[in-house]
Amino acid sequence: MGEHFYEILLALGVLSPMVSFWILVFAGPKLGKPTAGWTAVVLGMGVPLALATWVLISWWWGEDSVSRAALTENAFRFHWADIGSVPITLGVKLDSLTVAMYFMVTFVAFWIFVFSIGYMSGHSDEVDGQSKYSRFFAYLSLFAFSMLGLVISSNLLFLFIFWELVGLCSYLLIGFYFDKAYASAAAIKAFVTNRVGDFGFLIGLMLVFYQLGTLDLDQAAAVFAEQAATGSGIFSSDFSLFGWSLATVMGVGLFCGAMGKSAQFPLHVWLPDAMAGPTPVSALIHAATMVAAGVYLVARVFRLMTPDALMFIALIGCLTLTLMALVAIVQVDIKKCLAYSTLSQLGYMIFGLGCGAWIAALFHLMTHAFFKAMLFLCSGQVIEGCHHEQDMRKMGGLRKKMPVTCWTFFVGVLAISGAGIAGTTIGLGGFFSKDEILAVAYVRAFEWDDAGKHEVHDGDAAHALGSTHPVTGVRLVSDPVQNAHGGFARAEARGAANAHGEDTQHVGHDDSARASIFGTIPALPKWMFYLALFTAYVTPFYMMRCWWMTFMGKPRDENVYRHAHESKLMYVPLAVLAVGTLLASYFLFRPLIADAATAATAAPLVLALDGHEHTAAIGAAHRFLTFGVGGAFIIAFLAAIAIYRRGLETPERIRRALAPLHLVLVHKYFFDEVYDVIWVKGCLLLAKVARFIDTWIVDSIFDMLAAATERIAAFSGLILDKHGVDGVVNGVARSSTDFAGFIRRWQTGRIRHYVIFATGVATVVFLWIWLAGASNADAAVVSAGM
Amino acid sequence: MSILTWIVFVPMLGALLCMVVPRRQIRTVAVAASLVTFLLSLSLFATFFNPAGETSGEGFGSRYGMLQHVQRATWIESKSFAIEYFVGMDGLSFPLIVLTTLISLLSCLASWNFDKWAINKGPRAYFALFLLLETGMLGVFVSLDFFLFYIFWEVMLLPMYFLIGAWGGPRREYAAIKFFLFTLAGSVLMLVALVAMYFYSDQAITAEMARQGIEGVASGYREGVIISHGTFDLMELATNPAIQNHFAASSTLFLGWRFAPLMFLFLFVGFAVKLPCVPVHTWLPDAHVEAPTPISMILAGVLLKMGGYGFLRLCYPIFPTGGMTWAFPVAVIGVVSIIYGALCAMAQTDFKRLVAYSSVSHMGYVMLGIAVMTDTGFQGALFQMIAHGISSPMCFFLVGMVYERAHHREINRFGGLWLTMPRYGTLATIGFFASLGLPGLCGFIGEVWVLLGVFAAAEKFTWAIPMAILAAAGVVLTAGYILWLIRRVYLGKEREEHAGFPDASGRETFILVPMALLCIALGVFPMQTVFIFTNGTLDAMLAQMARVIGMGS
Amino acid sequence: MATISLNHYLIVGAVLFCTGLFTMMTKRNAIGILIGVELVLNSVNVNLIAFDRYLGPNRMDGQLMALFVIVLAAAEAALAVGICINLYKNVATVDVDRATSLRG
Repeated sequence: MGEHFYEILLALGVLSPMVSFWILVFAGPKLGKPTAGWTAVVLGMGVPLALATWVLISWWWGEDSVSRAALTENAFRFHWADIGSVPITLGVKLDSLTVAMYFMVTFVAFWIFVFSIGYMSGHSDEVDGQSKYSRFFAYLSLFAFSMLGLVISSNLLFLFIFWELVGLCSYLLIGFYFDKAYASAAAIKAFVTNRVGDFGFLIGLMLVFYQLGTLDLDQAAAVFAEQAATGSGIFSSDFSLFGWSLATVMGVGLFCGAMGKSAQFPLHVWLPDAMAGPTPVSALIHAATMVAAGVYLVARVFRLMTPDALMFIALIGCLTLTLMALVAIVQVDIKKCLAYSTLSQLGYMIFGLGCGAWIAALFHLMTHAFFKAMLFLCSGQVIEGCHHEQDMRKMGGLRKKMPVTCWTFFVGVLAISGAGIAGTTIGLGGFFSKDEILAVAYVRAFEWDDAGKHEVHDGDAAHALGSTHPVTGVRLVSDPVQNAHGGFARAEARGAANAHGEDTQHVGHDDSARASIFGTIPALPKWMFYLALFTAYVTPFYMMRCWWMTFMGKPRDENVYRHAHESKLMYVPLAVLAVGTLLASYFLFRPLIADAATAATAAPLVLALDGHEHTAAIGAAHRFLTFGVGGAFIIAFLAAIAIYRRGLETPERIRRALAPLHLVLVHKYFFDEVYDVIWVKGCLLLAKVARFIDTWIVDSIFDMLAAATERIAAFSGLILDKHGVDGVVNGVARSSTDFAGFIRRWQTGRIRHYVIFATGVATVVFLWIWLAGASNADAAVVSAGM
Repeated sequence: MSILTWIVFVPMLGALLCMVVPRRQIRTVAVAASLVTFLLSLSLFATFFNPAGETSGEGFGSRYGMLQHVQRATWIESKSFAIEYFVGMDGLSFPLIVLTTLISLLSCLASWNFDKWAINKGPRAYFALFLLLETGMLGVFVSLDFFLFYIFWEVMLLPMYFLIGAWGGPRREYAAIKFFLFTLAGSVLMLVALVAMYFYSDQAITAEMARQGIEGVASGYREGVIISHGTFDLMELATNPAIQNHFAASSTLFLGWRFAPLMFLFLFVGFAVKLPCVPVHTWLPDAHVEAPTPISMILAGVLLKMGGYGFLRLCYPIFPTGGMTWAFPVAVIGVVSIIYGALCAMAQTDFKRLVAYSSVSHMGYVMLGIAVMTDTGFQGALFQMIAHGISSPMCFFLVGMVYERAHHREINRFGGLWLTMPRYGTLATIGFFASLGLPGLCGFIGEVWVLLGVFAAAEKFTWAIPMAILAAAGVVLTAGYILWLIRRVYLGKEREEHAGFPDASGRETFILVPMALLCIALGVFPMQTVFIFTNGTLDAMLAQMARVIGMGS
Repeated sequence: MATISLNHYLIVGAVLFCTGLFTMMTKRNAIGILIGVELVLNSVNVNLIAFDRYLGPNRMDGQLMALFVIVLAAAEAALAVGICINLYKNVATVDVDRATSLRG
């Protein structure tokens, strides 16, 4: 295999959708209805999927861990531009995470593209059908380009560029039915909310650039670790914001971007509205891939995070996952229900990252992508089949009319609920990933001191832990990272040891400097764990409710039921994704991610927790929790079925009993309303004030200056004229008898008379001065000349 | 004769030709003249790859004052001073020259349907003035003698006055006189600076000669040349150590004030009006709204850049200490322009006025980037000027196309134009997203470079980080007003009264497509399209400035 | 050839001044009067610069004054031409004696 084999394949996979995009832009309408779609499927996603598969196979089975590490180290970099004198390189971040993510995106996206052909062909567009059809696939191709570019970016600036581009695609696709007012409003809301997050991202980016002097992910992490070790650079600043150090602000800034894109509380408001877009778009962009980009970003910059920043991330994730899951319970729109479930699951991922469960969070990202994409496609089937009816209250009993959809949907419900057989490794995706997040959270909340103590007991083991990966045994490649890593683990150990009053003499100077910078990593507040655990029970409840309301029970609306049908064209993607969900996949994605964790997470937490999930503490927690959480889905399913079994009467009674709570949930905690008043109205008000200032103050100052000049001129002119008029009209002779007449004689209103008069007077004065004395006159002339 | 001289005066020849050819061939002559100019300016690219003389192999040079295509001839001479015809080009002026010729060509094409305009009297005068304007603009960018610069600066003013005042909208006279008076007020101070700089450089040279007892002082940037009296040569003023020492010294006073900061301020005001920045920006919306479309394109695309060019060519290299003194106020004005301009744009209901205010906001980035005097900031500011020079004429042309069809510009009366005119809608999206600063398009690079440059200045200036954060907040506002605009004009239901609108014609597409392509090219390959040409000169200029600032402290 | 002294300049200035004055006195055409005014202003400029050169060669007061005069003259001319144009629009003549409509 040639040099940069993987980079070339991955880059080709990124460029292929771009080609498809341009073809569709220029020739799309001419290609016509099915051809344009197939162009996008083949060029836009087929080629990348093939390449991704090739890369995956040769990367995972063709290389061993040593050669993988070497390839990561020597990945291709292209000099793109200089910022000031700092070179910015464009390159491929080549590691197992990239490969896994790339494969996941292409795989899911490919089937969604195929699904779209069926979905869009059923769409009769009254206006401009042809060009709209090809435009849809052009946008999808552009999205594929941007998303894949985002995944392989080795550089924060490029990450940001693709980040914005996926945002643009999201904007264009949400607003695809732009002749509908709500769609274009939702599109703007999405873009602007994301921009608010990007504002934070940009600040983080600037801090990285300024403090670390590079935007390359790996270099930045190395510099960060080095600065942490020596207490220089960003760690030498005594800046403080709400008690956060500069390094924390940097991390939180970067996380703000993720908050926007992954729709975390309080920037979550755009995602439910984004369901205004076509359903395949909801599946692809707003469930499987783009919204996960925020999680991916945090995973990528994990090494730049401080404990405080991670705590903030955990807090935001925890709030999101709980609050959004509760809202999902009261949704009646099938897509909105799935949207809130997506929010809640994204909250889980972010929460996992905040806890340090790097592997588990990304694993959850992968599994979630599969089952959520499938769930959305199923909902697309339902909506399409019911003639654009999205209200679940009007559905019911659809299992007879659309059996395939019904049971694939059920697979998704099981997966998201974390169904599996406790104590074994038999289960669906969510069973492993969500439980693992919870297990790590449990250790962080309850057994954290013990975990630290465990490492103190063999101090050298902590160091060994720092430099080798527990699963693969690969030595870390980058030295600064390794040192920082090991050093931190020891510092961490020391902190814990102090707490236990044990001897810490073996801790070196380096570590104390480092410990003083980082402080120790605090335990997670217990309530966070309880909320996450509680939500693990809420999730199966609302998913089962959703499924039951749609497919089971009796039909509630004859009209909808009579017309309901299933489109066979869309079976294949559903089936493939269902199989993917069943298999996705403890056996492929998790090892891949764990492989990437070695180098990508040289942060203390991962090492202490996630990287060795087989350590006693985590293992025990995991086993214990699988019974608590693994059983959760059964309890919640039963509760949901009990309530919704007999149609809507029971839920209605409950709703009336809990009316105030229901009101709050239905209005989504009034976020939209409050934001509308504060931000939208506030901004417009400010804009109006600015316009007012501009027209009435800034501009009028200049106008007033002009007007004043004009007035003075007009005033003097009028006075002069008036007198002049008298002189002319009444005649010189008639007014010469009185003194006024004498004055008026000079006020002829004719300029030349004034000139003559002035000249005469000047001459007289001059003569007078001259005659008064030659010496005086000379002096006058000289001083006048000066 | 230097090719630059040809570039400057070919449009003028075209203007003369316009006066004599038969009436229906006037526009052909005008387009031909601007096309020839454009092609000539394209040939300048060859210079970069095969630079002449001492700079060969170094592109546009690693030392400030390394010039290409120099032509200098004594023009007005007396015993004590010489005004030269001195033109030349370096990495700072090169992209702006090409930008000018390109935008002139495109807006000349945009004037092609002159006969169909509301005011279509006097095509002869219109096209002649148009070409004269081009000469003036190019002259400003190529002349390196301050006196010559000033003359071109004023030459450019008058055609603009007439072009707005005679062929503009209903309030054209008001707008034209406002434009004229604002700019004139700025150039008065520049004139004072012109004279003062000459006299003080003369003092400096004389004193240096007396101190060393020699007949002349070695030139700051030309090998083997000595000068014995004051000069208008902009390169000499910036590079000659004797002059720079005298200018920067705290004992050098002018009317009781320190020389460098005061002169900086005089020049600054003149250029700030042109840029424009808050609070002297109010001429811009009026001028834009009243000016005919091609003139708006020129105004936004080229004239505004002269302010930024003036900063980079005169204010900062000649008075770096002045730049240090005034850094904070300048940066504040920049940030205020960004945010205030964006807010004003948000509140507008007139399409063209909105785009005009967005120019104020975008040029705020230029000012902010220059204010902090870092390499990234300068690069970003210059890039932003060029990017805005492409995207904003595009936006103005897009507005003009709608106006030609609808005969009004009320944003709220539009809607669904994308459905009515799909090709136009697609191009409009590119234009407005470039203006929004979407990554991958040209607006983004300038903004990010400026922000990073400001951030990187935190060591020099304590206020740099808050400024950068405020400016970054402008990004959100920009997204807000542009998207809102797109929604109101292009999205939504198709309207009855727009049903008959024809899509972009061949000519219109031909004008828009090059700009759209450039928006993309600059966004994707900023280094290959701009930075390789500009960075050498800017770095050299900063190094030069750093020496002077170091001397002063 | 004799050297040019201050007096030469003053004479030129005086001649210009008188010409301007005479023009202002005799013309009824508004443009003519305007030209007279310009002549007078420029004669002052000549004097200012001459004095600056001969009496205070190292100072710039005279030149600065002259510059301001030039600028003011430009502004004044712009205004005056504007008035003339308006006058012409309203009464179809630039004869100042016939512009009588403002006389109440």
